[in-house]
Amino acid sequence: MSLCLPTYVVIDASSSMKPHETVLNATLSRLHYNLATNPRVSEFARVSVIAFSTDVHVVIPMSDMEQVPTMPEVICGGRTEYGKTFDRVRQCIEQDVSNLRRQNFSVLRPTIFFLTDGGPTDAHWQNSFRTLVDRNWPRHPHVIAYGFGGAKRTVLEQVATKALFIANGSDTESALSAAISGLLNTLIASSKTGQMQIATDVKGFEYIQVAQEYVD
Amino acid sequence: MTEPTPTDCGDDGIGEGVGDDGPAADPRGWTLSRTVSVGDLGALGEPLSQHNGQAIAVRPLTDHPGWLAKLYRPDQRPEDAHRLDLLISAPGTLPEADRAALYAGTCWPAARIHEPGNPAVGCVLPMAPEQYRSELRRGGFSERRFVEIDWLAKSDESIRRIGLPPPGFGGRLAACRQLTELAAILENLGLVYSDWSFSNAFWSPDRRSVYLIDVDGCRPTKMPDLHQPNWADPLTPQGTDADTYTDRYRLGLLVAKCMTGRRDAHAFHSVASPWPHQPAVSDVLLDMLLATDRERRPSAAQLNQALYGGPYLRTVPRPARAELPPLPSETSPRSSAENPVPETVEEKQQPASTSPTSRNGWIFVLVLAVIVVFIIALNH
Repeated sequence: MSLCLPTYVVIDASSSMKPHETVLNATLSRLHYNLATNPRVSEFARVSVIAFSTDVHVVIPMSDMEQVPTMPEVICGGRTEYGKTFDRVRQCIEQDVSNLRRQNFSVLRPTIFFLTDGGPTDAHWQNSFRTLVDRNWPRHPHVIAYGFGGAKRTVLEQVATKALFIANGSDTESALSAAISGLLNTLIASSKTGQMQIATDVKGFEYIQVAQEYVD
Repeated sequence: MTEPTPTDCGDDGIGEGVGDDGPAADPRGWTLSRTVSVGDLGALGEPLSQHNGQAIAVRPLTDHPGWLAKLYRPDQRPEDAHRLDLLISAPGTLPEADRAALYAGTCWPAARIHEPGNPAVGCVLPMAPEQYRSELRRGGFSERRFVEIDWLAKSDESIRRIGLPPPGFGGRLAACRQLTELAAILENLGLVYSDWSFSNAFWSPDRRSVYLIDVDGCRPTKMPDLHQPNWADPLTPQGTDADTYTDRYRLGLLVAKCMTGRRDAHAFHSVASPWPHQPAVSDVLLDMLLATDRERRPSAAQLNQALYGGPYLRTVPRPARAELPPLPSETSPRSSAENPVPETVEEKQQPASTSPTSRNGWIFVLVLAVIVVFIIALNH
Protein backbone atom coordinates (compact mmCIF):
# COMPACT_ATOMS: atom_id res chain seq x y z
CA MET A 1 0.00 0.00 0.00
CA SER A 2 1.20 3.50 -0.84
CA LEU A 3 1.82 5.95 1.98
CA CYS A 4 -0.31 9.06 2.17
CA LEU A 5 -0.17 12.14 4.37
CA PRO A 6 -3.54 13.93 4.53
CA THR A 7 -2.55 17.58 4.59
CA TYR A 8 -4.83 20.49 5.47
CA VAL A 9 -3.73 24.02 4.58
CA VAL A 10 -6.02 26.06 6.81
CA ILE A 11 -5.63 29.71 6.00
CA ASP A 12 -6.99 32.88 7.60
CA ALA A 13 -9.13 34.74 5.07
CA SER A 14 -10.62 37.27 7.47
CA SER A 15 -10.90 41.02 6.83
CA SER A 16 -7.39 41.68 8.17
CA MET A 17 -6.09 39.65 5.21
CA LYS A 18 -8.04 41.72 2.69
CA PRO A 19 -5.14 44.10 1.93
CA HIS A 20 -2.99 41.04 1.21
CA GLU A 21 -5.57 39.11 -0.79
CA THR A 22 -3.63 39.33 -4.04
CA VAL A 23 -0.44 38.04 -2.47
CA LEU A 24 -2.39 35.34 -0.66
CA ASN A 25 -3.88 34.05 -3.89
CA ALA A 26 -0.58 34.29 -5.75
CA THR A 27 1.13 32.35 -2.97
CA LEU A 28 -1.53 29.66 -2.97
CA SER A 29 -1.25 29.41 -6.76
CA ARG A 30 2.49 28.98 -6.41
CA LEU A 31 1.90 26.22 -3.84
CA HIS A 32 -0.47 24.53 -6.27
CA TYR A 33 2.09 24.80 -9.09
CA ASN A 34 4.89 23.30 -7.01
CA LEU A 35 2.76 20.41 -5.87
CA ALA A 36 1.16 19.81 -9.27
CA THR A 37 4.57 19.65 -10.96
CA ASN A 38 6.05 17.28 -8.40
CA PRO A 39 4.21 13.98 -8.81
CA ARG A 40 5.80 12.02 -5.99
CA VAL A 41 5.11 14.83 -3.52
CA SER A 42 1.51 15.32 -4.64
CA GLU A 43 1.03 11.54 -4.56
CA PHE A 44 2.28 11.38 -0.97
CA ALA A 45 0.74 14.57 0.40
CA ARG A 46 -2.92 14.75 -0.50
CA VAL A 47 -3.92 18.32 0.18
CA SER A 48 -7.09 20.13 1.14
CA VAL A 49 -7.15 23.92 1.24
CA ILE A 50 -9.58 25.46 3.72
CA ALA A 51 -10.12 29.19 4.12
CA PHE A 52 -11.72 30.53 7.26
CA SER A 53 -13.23 33.80 8.34
CA THR A 54 -16.79 34.19 9.63
CA ASP A 55 -17.52 30.91 7.87
CA VAL A 56 -15.38 28.06 6.73
CA HIS A 57 -14.88 27.30 3.04
CA VAL A 58 -13.31 24.18 1.64
CA VAL A 59 -11.50 25.76 -1.28
CA ILE A 60 -10.08 22.45 -2.48
CA PRO A 61 -11.25 19.13 -1.00
CA MET A 62 -8.64 16.44 -0.28
CA SER A 63 -6.95 15.96 -3.65
CA ASP A 64 -3.87 14.98 -5.55
CA MET A 65 -2.93 18.51 -6.54
CA GLU A 66 -1.71 17.27 -9.91
CA GLN A 67 -5.32 16.48 -10.71
CA VAL A 68 -6.55 19.95 -9.68
CA PRO A 69 -6.67 22.25 -12.73
CA THR A 70 -6.12 25.57 -10.94
CA MET A 71 -6.22 27.03 -7.45
CA PRO A 72 -9.57 28.80 -6.92
CA GLU A 73 -9.45 32.37 -5.76
CA VAL A 74 -9.89 33.09 -2.06
CA ILE A 75 -11.91 36.19 -1.15
CA CYS A 76 -11.02 37.71 2.22
CA GLY A 77 -13.43 39.34 4.64
CA GLY A 78 -15.25 38.77 7.89
CA ARG A 79 -14.25 37.65 11.35
CA THR A 80 -11.78 35.03 12.52
CA GLU A 81 -13.84 32.11 13.78
CA TYR A 82 -11.50 29.42 15.08
CA GLY A 83 -14.21 27.18 16.58
CA LYS A 84 -16.16 26.65 13.37
CA THR A 85 -12.90 26.05 11.57
CA PHE A 86 -11.77 23.29 13.91
CA ASP A 87 -15.21 21.69 13.76
CA ARG A 88 -15.18 21.67 9.97
CA VAL A 89 -11.66 20.35 9.71
CA ARG A 90 -12.59 17.50 12.05
CA GLN A 91 -15.50 16.58 9.79
CA CYS A 92 -13.24 16.68 6.75
CA ILE A 93 -10.64 14.47 8.40
CA GLU A 94 -13.24 11.88 9.34
CA GLN A 95 -14.46 11.66 5.76
CA ASP A 96 -11.12 12.05 3.99
CA VAL A 97 -9.28 9.38 5.96
CA SER A 98 -12.09 6.92 5.23
CA ASN A 99 -11.91 7.77 1.53
CA LEU A 100 -8.14 7.38 1.44
CA ARG A 101 -8.32 4.02 3.20
CA ARG A 102 -10.87 2.85 0.65
CA GLN A 103 -8.28 3.70 -2.01
CA ASN A 104 -5.90 1.31 -0.22
CA PHE A 105 -3.59 4.03 1.07
CA SER A 106 -1.60 3.52 4.23
CA VAL A 107 -2.69 6.78 5.89
CA LEU A 108 -0.34 8.71 8.15
CA ARG A 109 -1.60 10.98 10.91
CA PRO A 110 -3.23 14.03 9.26
CA THR A 111 -1.37 17.32 9.53
CA ILE A 112 -2.93 20.75 9.68
CA PHE A 113 -0.86 23.72 8.58
CA PHE A 114 -2.66 26.61 10.30
CA LEU A 115 -1.79 30.06 8.98
CA THR A 116 -3.22 33.16 10.63
CA ASP A 117 -2.54 36.87 10.97
CA GLY A 118 -4.83 37.52 13.89
CA GLY A 119 -6.47 36.23 17.03
CA PRO A 120 -9.82 34.40 17.21
CA THR A 121 -12.98 36.45 17.42
CA ASP A 122 -15.05 33.63 18.94
CA ALA A 123 -14.74 33.25 22.67
CA HIS A 124 -15.19 29.50 23.07
CA TRP A 125 -13.08 28.06 20.30
CA GLN A 126 -11.08 25.94 22.75
CA ASN A 127 -13.86 23.36 23.04
CA SER A 128 -13.81 22.72 19.31
CA PHE A 129 -10.03 22.59 19.33
CA ARG A 130 -9.93 20.09 22.18
CA THR A 131 -12.39 17.88 20.31
CA LEU A 132 -10.21 18.09 17.18
CA VAL A 133 -6.96 17.06 18.88
CA ASP A 134 -8.48 14.68 21.43
CA ARG A 135 -6.06 11.76 21.59
CA ASN A 136 -8.95 9.40 22.15
CA TRP A 137 -10.02 10.10 18.59
CA PRO A 138 -7.77 7.83 16.51
CA ARG A 139 -7.64 10.31 13.65
CA HIS A 140 -6.57 13.32 15.69
CA PRO A 141 -4.22 15.47 13.61
CA HIS A 142 -0.91 17.22 14.18
CA VAL A 143 -1.17 21.01 14.06
CA ILE A 144 1.71 23.14 12.78
CA ALA A 145 0.90 26.83 13.24
CA TYR A 146 2.33 29.86 11.47
CA GLY A 147 1.51 33.23 13.03
CA PHE A 148 2.23 36.60 11.44
CA GLY A 149 0.84 40.12 11.38
CA GLY A 150 -1.46 40.51 14.39
CA ALA A 151 -1.40 36.85 15.35
CA LYS A 152 -1.37 36.19 19.09
CA ARG A 153 1.52 34.07 20.25
CA THR A 154 -0.26 32.98 23.43
CA VAL A 155 -3.17 31.67 21.39
CA LEU A 156 -1.02 29.89 18.82
CA GLU A 157 0.96 28.23 21.58
CA GLN A 158 -2.29 26.55 22.52
CA VAL A 159 -3.11 25.61 18.92
CA ALA A 160 0.24 24.20 17.78
CA THR A 161 0.72 20.55 18.73
CA LYS A 162 3.75 19.76 16.57
CA ALA A 163 5.54 23.02 15.76
CA LEU A 164 5.01 26.76 15.98
CA PHE A 165 6.42 29.47 13.77
CA ILE A 166 6.04 33.13 14.77
CA ALA A 167 7.01 35.87 12.34
CA ASN A 168 9.81 37.97 13.76
CA GLY A 169 8.80 41.33 12.45
CA SER A 170 8.60 40.68 8.74
CA ASP A 171 5.66 42.19 6.87
CA THR A 172 2.57 40.07 6.36
CA GLU A 173 3.13 39.42 2.67
CA SER A 174 6.72 38.28 3.07
CA ALA A 175 5.72 36.18 6.05
CA LEU A 176 2.88 34.57 4.16
CA SER A 177 5.14 33.70 1.26
CA ALA A 178 7.80 32.29 3.59
CA ALA A 179 5.24 30.26 5.54
CA ILE A 180 3.94 28.61 2.38
CA SER A 181 7.54 27.89 1.30
CA GLY A 182 8.19 26.32 4.68
CA LEU A 183 5.05 24.24 4.35
CA LEU A 184 6.09 23.09 0.88
CA ASN A 185 9.61 22.20 2.05
CA THR A 186 8.07 20.17 4.86
CA LEU A 187 5.95 18.21 2.40
CA ILE A 188 8.91 17.63 0.07
CA ALA A 189 11.15 16.43 2.90
CA SER A 190 8.38 14.24 4.31
CA SER A 191 7.71 12.63 0.93
CA LYS A 192 11.36 11.49 0.75
CA THR A 193 11.23 9.60 4.03
CA GLY A 194 7.56 8.78 4.35
CA GLN A 195 7.49 10.47 7.76
CA MET A 196 6.72 13.98 8.96
CA GLN A 197 9.91 16.00 8.56
CA ILE A 198 9.33 19.61 9.48
CA ALA A 199 11.38 22.26 7.67
CA THR A 200 12.34 24.37 10.66
CA ASP A 201 14.40 26.97 8.80
CA VAL A 202 11.66 29.34 7.60
CA LYS A 203 12.84 32.79 6.57
CA GLY A 204 11.48 35.56 8.78
CA PHE A 205 10.07 33.19 11.38
CA GLU A 206 11.12 32.10 14.80
CA TYR A 207 10.76 28.34 15.18
CA ILE A 208 9.40 27.31 18.56
CA GLN A 209 9.59 23.69 19.43
CA VAL A 210 6.31 22.60 20.94
CA ALA A 211 6.75 21.36 24.49
CA GLN A 212 4.15 18.64 24.36
CA GLU A 213 4.04 16.65 21.18
CA TYR A 214 1.38 14.09 20.49
CA VAL A 215 2.89 10.69 20.17
CA ASP A 216 1.59 8.60 17.28
CA MET B 1 33.45 -6.06 -10.89
CA THR B 2 37.01 -7.44 -10.96
CA GLU B 3 39.41 -5.96 -8.45
CA PRO B 4 42.65 -4.48 -9.80
CA THR B 5 46.08 -5.11 -8.25
CA PRO B 6 46.52 -2.88 -5.13
CA THR B 7 48.99 -0.05 -5.58
CA ASP B 8 51.63 1.14 -3.08
CA CYS B 9 50.25 3.22 -0.24
CA GLY B 10 51.24 6.82 0.22
CA ASP B 11 52.42 8.41 3.44
CA ASP B 12 48.88 8.57 4.81
CA GLY B 13 48.59 4.79 4.53
CA ILE B 14 45.81 5.06 2.00
CA GLY B 15 46.23 4.02 -1.58
CA GLU B 16 45.98 6.72 -4.18
CA GLY B 17 43.82 4.32 -6.14
CA VAL B 18 43.94 2.75 -9.51
CA GLY B 19 44.27 4.88 -12.55
CA ASP B 20 46.48 7.35 -10.76
CA ASP B 21 48.95 7.19 -13.60
CA GLY B 22 48.27 10.45 -15.34
CA PRO B 23 45.18 11.92 -17.00
CA ALA B 24 42.40 9.45 -17.61
CA ALA B 25 41.23 8.94 -21.18
CA ASP B 26 37.62 9.73 -20.38
CA PRO B 27 35.64 9.99 -23.62
CA ARG B 28 33.37 12.52 -21.94
CA GLY B 29 36.23 14.98 -21.79
CA TRP B 30 37.45 14.83 -18.18
CA THR B 31 41.07 15.87 -18.63
CA LEU B 32 42.47 15.57 -15.12
CA SER B 33 43.46 12.42 -13.29
CA ARG B 34 41.06 9.87 -11.86
CA THR B 35 42.10 11.02 -8.40
CA VAL B 36 42.28 14.72 -7.74
CA SER B 37 42.79 16.88 -4.71
CA VAL B 38 40.32 19.57 -3.74
CA GLY B 39 42.92 22.12 -4.77
CA ASP B 40 43.25 20.60 -8.24
CA LEU B 41 39.61 21.33 -8.96
CA GLY B 42 39.88 25.09 -8.81
CA ALA B 43 36.96 27.28 -7.80
CA LEU B 44 33.63 25.67 -6.95
CA GLY B 45 30.39 27.35 -7.96
CA GLU B 46 27.29 27.85 -5.83
CA PRO B 47 25.72 24.57 -4.69
CA LEU B 48 23.10 23.09 -6.99
CA SER B 49 21.83 20.98 -4.11
CA GLN B 50 22.67 20.54 -0.46
CA HIS B 51 22.24 17.91 2.22
CA ASN B 52 20.83 15.34 -0.12
CA GLY B 53 21.43 11.78 0.98
CA GLN B 54 25.12 11.02 1.38
CA ALA B 55 26.17 14.37 -0.11
CA ILE B 56 26.48 17.67 1.71
CA ALA B 57 26.64 19.57 -1.57
CA VAL B 58 26.89 19.26 -5.33
CA ARG B 59 28.79 22.18 -6.83
CA PRO B 60 29.77 23.08 -10.39
CA LEU B 61 33.49 23.21 -11.24
CA THR B 62 34.06 26.71 -12.50
CA ASP B 63 37.30 25.75 -14.26
CA HIS B 64 35.80 22.63 -15.82
CA PRO B 65 32.47 23.49 -17.42
CA GLY B 66 30.09 20.58 -17.59
CA TRP B 67 31.47 18.90 -14.48
CA LEU B 68 30.37 18.80 -10.87
CA ALA B 69 31.95 18.06 -7.52
CA LYS B 70 29.78 15.92 -5.30
CA LEU B 71 31.02 16.41 -1.76
CA TYR B 72 30.25 13.70 0.75
CA ARG B 73 29.39 13.91 4.39
CA PRO B 74 32.49 13.59 6.59
CA ASP B 75 31.32 10.22 7.94
CA GLN B 76 32.37 8.31 4.82
CA ARG B 77 34.47 5.22 5.51
CA PRO B 78 38.09 5.02 4.27
CA GLU B 79 37.24 1.94 2.17
CA ASP B 80 34.89 4.14 0.15
CA ALA B 81 37.97 5.49 -1.59
CA HIS B 82 38.80 2.03 -2.91
CA ARG B 83 35.19 1.43 -3.90
CA LEU B 84 35.07 4.72 -5.79
CA ASP B 85 38.28 3.90 -7.61
CA LEU B 86 36.85 0.58 -8.74
CA LEU B 87 33.68 2.28 -9.91
CA ILE B 88 35.58 4.91 -11.84
CA SER B 89 37.67 2.31 -13.66
CA ALA B 90 34.82 -0.18 -14.16
CA PRO B 91 33.69 1.10 -17.59
CA GLY B 92 37.13 0.23 -18.87
CA THR B 93 36.31 -3.45 -18.34
CA LEU B 94 33.20 -3.29 -20.52
CA PRO B 95 32.71 -3.90 -24.23
CA GLU B 96 32.76 -0.65 -26.14
CA ALA B 97 28.99 -0.54 -26.74
CA ASP B 98 28.20 -1.04 -23.06
CA ARG B 99 30.78 1.53 -22.02
CA ALA B 100 29.27 4.05 -24.41
CA ALA B 101 25.76 3.29 -23.12
CA LEU B 102 26.89 3.70 -19.51
CA TYR B 103 28.61 7.01 -20.12
CA ALA B 104 25.71 8.33 -22.21
CA GLY B 105 22.99 7.19 -19.83
CA THR B 106 24.40 7.86 -16.36
CA CYS B 107 26.41 10.42 -14.43
CA TRP B 108 29.21 7.90 -13.97
CA PRO B 109 31.95 9.33 -11.72
CA ALA B 110 35.10 10.45 -13.49
CA ALA B 111 37.41 11.04 -10.53
CA ARG B 112 37.73 10.67 -6.77
CA ILE B 113 38.37 13.83 -4.77
CA HIS B 114 40.73 13.58 -1.81
CA GLU B 115 42.47 15.80 0.70
CA PRO B 116 45.00 15.12 3.47
CA GLY B 117 43.39 12.83 6.01
CA ASN B 118 40.33 12.15 3.86
CA PRO B 119 40.68 9.96 0.80
CA ALA B 120 37.00 10.22 -0.18
CA VAL B 121 35.99 13.88 0.05
CA GLY B 122 33.75 13.31 -2.92
CA CYS B 123 33.77 12.59 -6.62
CA VAL B 124 33.66 14.38 -9.95
CA LEU B 125 30.51 13.80 -11.97
CA PRO B 126 29.36 15.02 -15.36
CA MET B 127 26.45 17.43 -15.45
CA ALA B 128 23.27 15.90 -16.78
CA PRO B 129 22.81 16.87 -20.43
CA GLU B 130 20.61 19.87 -21.14
CA GLN B 131 18.15 17.68 -23.09
CA TYR B 132 16.77 16.54 -19.72
CA ARG B 133 15.56 20.02 -18.87
CA SER B 134 12.16 21.21 -20.02
CA GLU B 135 9.69 23.96 -19.24
CA LEU B 136 7.05 22.69 -16.86
CA ARG B 137 3.94 24.81 -17.33
CA ARG B 138 0.87 24.83 -15.13
CA GLY B 139 -1.58 27.66 -14.65
CA GLY B 140 0.25 30.92 -14.93
CA PHE B 141 3.59 29.47 -13.89
CA SER B 142 6.45 28.02 -15.87
CA GLU B 143 9.88 26.83 -14.77
CA ARG B 144 12.70 25.14 -16.59
CA ARG B 145 13.68 22.07 -14.60
CA PHE B 146 15.23 18.66 -14.94
CA VAL B 147 12.34 16.31 -15.71
CA GLU B 148 12.44 13.35 -13.36
CA ILE B 149 11.32 9.93 -14.50
CA ASP B 150 8.55 10.55 -11.97
CA TRP B 151 6.61 12.03 -14.86
CA LEU B 152 6.89 8.96 -17.05
CA ALA B 153 4.86 7.14 -14.39
CA LYS B 154 1.92 9.46 -15.07
CA SER B 155 -0.71 9.28 -17.77
CA ASP B 156 -0.22 10.89 -21.16
CA GLU B 157 -2.94 13.32 -20.18
CA SER B 158 -1.08 14.43 -17.04
CA ILE B 159 2.15 14.82 -18.99
CA ARG B 160 0.41 16.91 -21.63
CA ARG B 161 -1.12 19.06 -18.89
CA ILE B 162 2.28 20.37 -17.81
CA GLY B 163 3.33 21.20 -21.35
CA LEU B 164 5.40 18.12 -22.16
CA PRO B 165 4.81 15.98 -25.25
CA PRO B 166 3.01 12.80 -24.22
CA PRO B 167 5.23 9.76 -24.77
CA GLY B 168 2.61 7.29 -25.87
CA PHE B 169 3.42 3.62 -25.78
CA GLY B 170 6.43 4.06 -28.07
CA GLY B 171 8.07 6.69 -25.89
CA ARG B 172 7.54 4.65 -22.74
CA LEU B 173 8.95 1.55 -24.40
CA ALA B 174 12.06 3.38 -25.62
CA ALA B 175 12.77 4.83 -22.17
CA CYS B 176 12.25 1.50 -20.40
CA ARG B 177 14.46 -0.32 -22.88
CA GLN B 178 17.30 2.07 -22.07
CA LEU B 179 16.59 1.86 -18.34
CA THR B 180 16.81 -1.93 -18.38
CA GLU B 181 19.90 -1.85 -20.58
CA LEU B 182 21.66 0.30 -17.96
CA ALA B 183 20.42 -1.96 -15.19
CA ALA B 184 21.76 -5.01 -17.02
CA ILE B 185 25.19 -3.37 -17.34
CA LEU B 186 25.24 -2.69 -13.60
CA GLU B 187 24.24 -6.30 -12.90
CA ASN B 188 26.98 -7.58 -15.19
CA LEU B 189 29.49 -5.47 -13.27
CA GLY B 190 28.25 -7.10 -10.07
CA LEU B 191 27.02 -3.76 -8.75
CA VAL B 192 24.01 -3.03 -6.57
CA TYR B 193 22.36 0.34 -7.14
CA SER B 194 19.43 0.09 -4.69
CA ASP B 195 18.23 3.60 -5.53
CA TRP B 196 15.77 2.71 -8.29
CA SER B 197 12.93 5.19 -7.79
CA PHE B 198 11.18 8.19 -9.31
CA SER B 199 13.81 10.65 -8.18
CA ASN B 200 17.01 9.06 -9.44
CA ALA B 201 16.63 9.27 -13.17
CA PHE B 202 15.85 12.05 -15.59
CA TRP B 203 13.67 11.62 -18.64
CA SER B 204 13.72 13.43 -21.95
CA PRO B 205 10.34 13.23 -23.65
CA ASP B 206 11.81 14.68 -26.84
CA ARG B 207 14.73 12.22 -27.13
CA ARG B 208 12.78 9.37 -25.44
CA SER B 209 15.82 8.73 -23.27
CA VAL B 210 16.71 8.42 -19.59
CA TYR B 211 19.69 9.43 -17.47
CA LEU B 212 20.49 7.68 -14.22
CA ILE B 213 21.94 9.74 -11.35
CA ASP B 214 23.51 8.94 -7.97
CA VAL B 215 25.34 5.95 -9.48
CA ASP B 216 28.42 6.84 -7.44
CA GLY B 217 26.69 5.09 -4.56
CA CYS B 218 26.76 1.69 -6.30
CA ARG B 219 28.43 -1.07 -4.33
CA PRO B 220 29.54 -4.57 -5.23
CA THR B 221 27.22 -7.41 -4.21
CA LYS B 222 25.27 -5.69 -1.45
CA MET B 223 24.79 -2.40 0.36
CA PRO B 224 22.71 -0.92 3.18
CA ASP B 225 19.13 -0.75 1.98
CA LEU B 226 18.04 2.86 1.59
CA HIS B 227 14.52 3.30 2.92
CA GLN B 228 12.28 4.86 0.34
CA PRO B 229 8.57 5.02 0.94
CA ASN B 230 6.56 3.07 -1.64
CA TRP B 231 9.69 1.29 -2.96
CA ALA B 232 10.14 -1.20 -0.16
CA ASP B 233 10.85 -4.72 -1.40
CA PRO B 234 8.42 -6.99 0.46
CA LEU B 235 10.99 -9.80 0.40
CA THR B 236 13.96 -7.77 1.70
CA PRO B 237 13.40 -7.52 5.47
CA GLN B 238 13.86 -4.08 6.95
CA GLY B 239 17.34 -3.64 8.32
CA THR B 240 18.96 -6.10 5.92
CA ASP B 241 21.16 -5.21 2.99
CA ALA B 242 19.90 -4.56 -0.51
CA ASP B 243 21.30 -6.85 -3.16
CA THR B 244 20.79 -7.63 -6.81
CA TYR B 245 17.38 -9.19 -6.09
CA THR B 246 16.25 -6.01 -4.36
CA ASP B 247 17.35 -4.09 -7.42
CA ARG B 248 15.34 -6.42 -9.65
CA TYR B 249 12.19 -5.78 -7.66
CA ARG B 250 12.62 -2.02 -7.74
CA LEU B 251 13.54 -2.00 -11.41
CA GLY B 252 10.45 -4.08 -12.16
CA LEU B 253 8.30 -1.68 -10.17
CA LEU B 254 9.73 1.34 -11.96
CA VAL B 255 9.30 -0.20 -15.40
CA ALA B 256 5.75 -1.33 -14.61
CA LYS B 257 4.79 2.17 -13.54
CA CYS B 258 6.51 3.87 -16.47
CA MET B 259 5.08 1.48 -19.06
CA THR B 260 1.53 1.88 -17.76
CA GLY B 261 1.57 5.46 -16.50
CA ARG B 262 -0.02 4.16 -13.28
CA ARG B 263 1.45 4.42 -9.81
CA ASP B 264 -0.80 2.29 -7.65
CA ALA B 265 -2.03 -1.28 -7.78
CA HIS B 266 -3.35 -0.57 -11.26
CA ALA B 267 0.22 -0.80 -12.53
CA PHE B 268 0.37 -4.43 -11.39
CA HIS B 269 -3.00 -5.28 -12.91
CA SER B 270 -2.19 -3.49 -16.15
CA VAL B 271 1.04 -5.41 -16.75
CA ALA B 272 -0.88 -8.64 -16.20
CA SER B 273 -2.31 -8.19 -19.71
CA PRO B 274 0.42 -8.99 -22.30
CA TRP B 275 1.41 -6.42 -24.89
CA PRO B 276 0.94 -7.80 -28.42
CA HIS B 277 4.48 -7.06 -29.67
CA GLN B 278 6.28 -7.70 -26.39
CA PRO B 279 4.41 -10.77 -25.19
CA ALA B 280 7.00 -11.86 -22.64
CA VAL B 281 7.14 -8.56 -20.72
CA SER B 282 4.06 -9.35 -18.67
CA ASP B 283 5.45 -12.61 -17.30
CA VAL B 284 8.88 -11.12 -16.67
CA LEU B 285 7.47 -8.15 -14.77
CA LEU B 286 5.05 -10.25 -12.76
CA ASP B 287 7.86 -12.60 -11.74
CA MET B 288 10.04 -9.62 -10.76
CA LEU B 289 7.25 -8.16 -8.66
CA LEU B 290 5.40 -11.17 -7.30
CA ALA B 291 7.76 -14.17 -7.22
CA THR B 292 7.64 -15.57 -3.70
CA ASP B 293 11.28 -16.64 -3.94
CA ARG B 294 13.29 -13.46 -4.43
CA GLU B 295 16.14 -15.38 -6.04
CA ARG B 296 13.80 -16.47 -8.83
CA ARG B 297 13.25 -12.86 -9.91
CA PRO B 298 14.34 -12.51 -13.53
CA SER B 299 17.32 -10.34 -14.33
CA ALA B 300 17.43 -6.88 -15.85
CA ALA B 301 18.82 -8.45 -19.03
CA GLN B 302 15.81 -10.74 -19.28
CA LEU B 303 13.46 -7.78 -18.93
CA ASN B 304 15.45 -5.86 -21.52
CA GLN B 305 15.21 -8.80 -23.92
CA ALA B 306 11.47 -9.05 -23.38
CA LEU B 307 11.04 -5.32 -24.03
CA TYR B 308 12.65 -5.89 -27.41
CA GLY B 309 10.11 -8.58 -28.18
CA GLY B 310 12.32 -11.48 -27.20
CA PRO B 311 11.28 -14.56 -25.25
CA TYR B 312 11.39 -15.10 -21.50
CA LEU B 313 13.57 -18.14 -20.90
CA ARG B 314 13.03 -19.33 -17.37
CA THR B 315 13.74 -22.54 -15.59
CA VAL B 316 10.97 -24.90 -14.67
CA PRO B 317 9.02 -25.04 -12.50
CA ARG B 318 7.83 -21.46 -12.84
CA PRO B 319 8.33 -19.37 -9.73
CA ALA B 320 5.33 -19.22 -7.46
CA ARG B 321 3.75 -15.78 -7.34
CA ALA B 322 1.96 -13.81 -4.67
CA GLU B 323 -1.48 -12.47 -5.42
CA LEU B 324 -1.87 -9.23 -7.28
CA PRO B 325 -2.43 -6.36 -4.83
CA PRO B 326 -6.07 -5.36 -4.44
CA LEU B 327 -7.34 -2.48 -6.53
CA PRO B 328 -8.67 0.60 -4.73
CA SER B 329 -12.42 0.57 -4.14
CA GLU B 330 -12.92 3.76 -6.10
CA THR B 331 -11.11 3.00 -9.32
CA SER B 332 -10.14 5.96 -11.46
CA PRO B 333 -10.43 6.02 -15.27
CA ARG B 334 -7.80 4.02 -17.14
CA SER B 335 -4.96 6.06 -18.62
CA SER B 336 -4.21 6.13 -22.34
CA ALA B 337 -0.87 4.42 -21.68
CA GLU B 338 -2.37 1.22 -20.40
CA ASN B 339 -2.62 -2.01 -22.31
CA PRO B 340 -5.73 -2.12 -24.43
CA VAL B 341 -7.99 -4.87 -23.15
CA PRO B 342 -10.82 -6.45 -25.04
CA GLU B 343 -14.18 -4.92 -24.19
CA THR B 344 -16.42 -7.24 -22.34
CA VAL B 345 -19.71 -7.56 -24.08
CA GLU B 346 -22.67 -7.83 -21.80
CA GLU B 347 -25.09 -10.51 -22.79
CA LYS B 348 -28.46 -9.00 -23.61
CA GLN B 349 -31.24 -10.47 -21.57
CA GLN B 350 -34.70 -11.00 -23.21
CA PRO B 351 -37.48 -8.98 -21.54
CA ALA B 352 -39.86 -11.35 -19.73
CA SER B 353 -42.90 -10.23 -21.74
CA THR B 354 -41.52 -11.60 -25.04
CA SER B 355 -40.32 -14.96 -23.76
CA PRO B 356 -41.58 -17.96 -25.71
CA THR B 357 -43.35 -19.47 -22.69
CA SER B 358 -45.44 -16.40 -21.87
CA ARG B 359 -46.18 -15.80 -25.55
CA ASN B 360 -47.75 -19.28 -25.85
CA GLY B 361 -49.80 -18.64 -22.72
CA TRP B 362 -51.34 -15.49 -24.14
CA ILE B 363 -52.27 -17.25 -27.40
CA PHE B 364 -54.01 -20.01 -25.45
CA VAL B 365 -56.03 -17.51 -23.45
CA LEU B 366 -57.00 -15.67 -26.63
CA VAL B 367 -58.15 -18.86 -28.34
CA LEU B 368 -60.12 -19.83 -25.28
CA ALA B 369 -61.76 -16.42 -25.18
CA VAL B 370 -62.76 -16.73 -28.84
CA ILE B 371 -64.25 -20.18 -28.20
CA VAL B 372 -66.28 -18.88 -25.24
CA VAL B 373 -67.59 -15.94 -27.25
CA PHE B 374 -68.53 -18.33 -30.09
CA ILE B 375 -70.42 -20.63 -27.70
CA ILE B 376 -72.28 -17.71 -26.17
CA ALA B 377 -73.19 -16.43 -29.61
CA LEU B 378 -74.52 -19.85 -30.66
CA ASN B 379 -76.75 -20.07 -27.60
CA HIS B 380 -78.28 -16.71 -28.33
